[in-house]
Amino acid sequence: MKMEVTNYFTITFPATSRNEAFARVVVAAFAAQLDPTLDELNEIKTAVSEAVTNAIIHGYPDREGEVVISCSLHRDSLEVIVKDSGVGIDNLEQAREPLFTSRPDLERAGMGFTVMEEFMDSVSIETKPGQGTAVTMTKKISAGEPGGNERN
Amino acid sequence: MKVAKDHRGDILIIAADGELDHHTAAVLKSSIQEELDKGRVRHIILDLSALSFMDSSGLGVLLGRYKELAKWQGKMLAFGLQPLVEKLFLMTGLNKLIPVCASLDDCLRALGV
Repeated sequence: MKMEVTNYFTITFPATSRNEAFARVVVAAFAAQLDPTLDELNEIKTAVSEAVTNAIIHGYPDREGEVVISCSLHRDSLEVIVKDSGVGIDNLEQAREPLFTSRPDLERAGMGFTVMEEFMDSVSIETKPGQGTAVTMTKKISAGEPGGNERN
Repeated sequence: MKVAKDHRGDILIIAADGELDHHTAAVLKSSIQEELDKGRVRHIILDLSALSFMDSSGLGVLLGRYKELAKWQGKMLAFGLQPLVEKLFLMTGLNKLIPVCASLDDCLRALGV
């Protein structure tokens, strides 16, 4: 059963690498409303960094574009959607495999999805060749109690 | 990302300060590569005590330099990892290629200094 949304935001920014740090800090600041531990915050930052980096490098390999992050709080959990309107992923199963990278020329470790899966509770990917990719991640926050995000 | 360099004989000591992601990876890569290209470096010790963030892009750049060193059987060691960085090292098995030591002295001892 889907929990009620208690807060949300959406941001759109150019798919350039200098926005990677911005993106993870914004999501972490938003998630702070659920009183996460430092470890949980760091895990969220890392997972967001992976998804945004993927969108920038793989979504738009040869043109400029935009990344959209939609974030929502559901009582004691965070949902983050990182979306690009780029080239999409041809072989999703292969892309999710540890150590697989389509860009060894860029010294990519091929661990992005593995890190996301390790640090978040769920990771689902929707992709259409030529239309883009959306990565949806959720994480339950241990301290997220009723009222935890209702303080002003 | 700020990178400080120090030398002990043929050992290059790199102190990385800041956040290591896809955007900053190039800074670390070029400052290490610059030293490797001089042809006097055999091993590298990474001081990560001031590295507050790292993702898999950081992993990629470290692996790349590790492979460079492997060409002449050089070793790469690290110390001072913050919890998040250590978690990433363990999770990805990077610590099997780049062993983590307790201190700079331990790293130097491991290299026979």
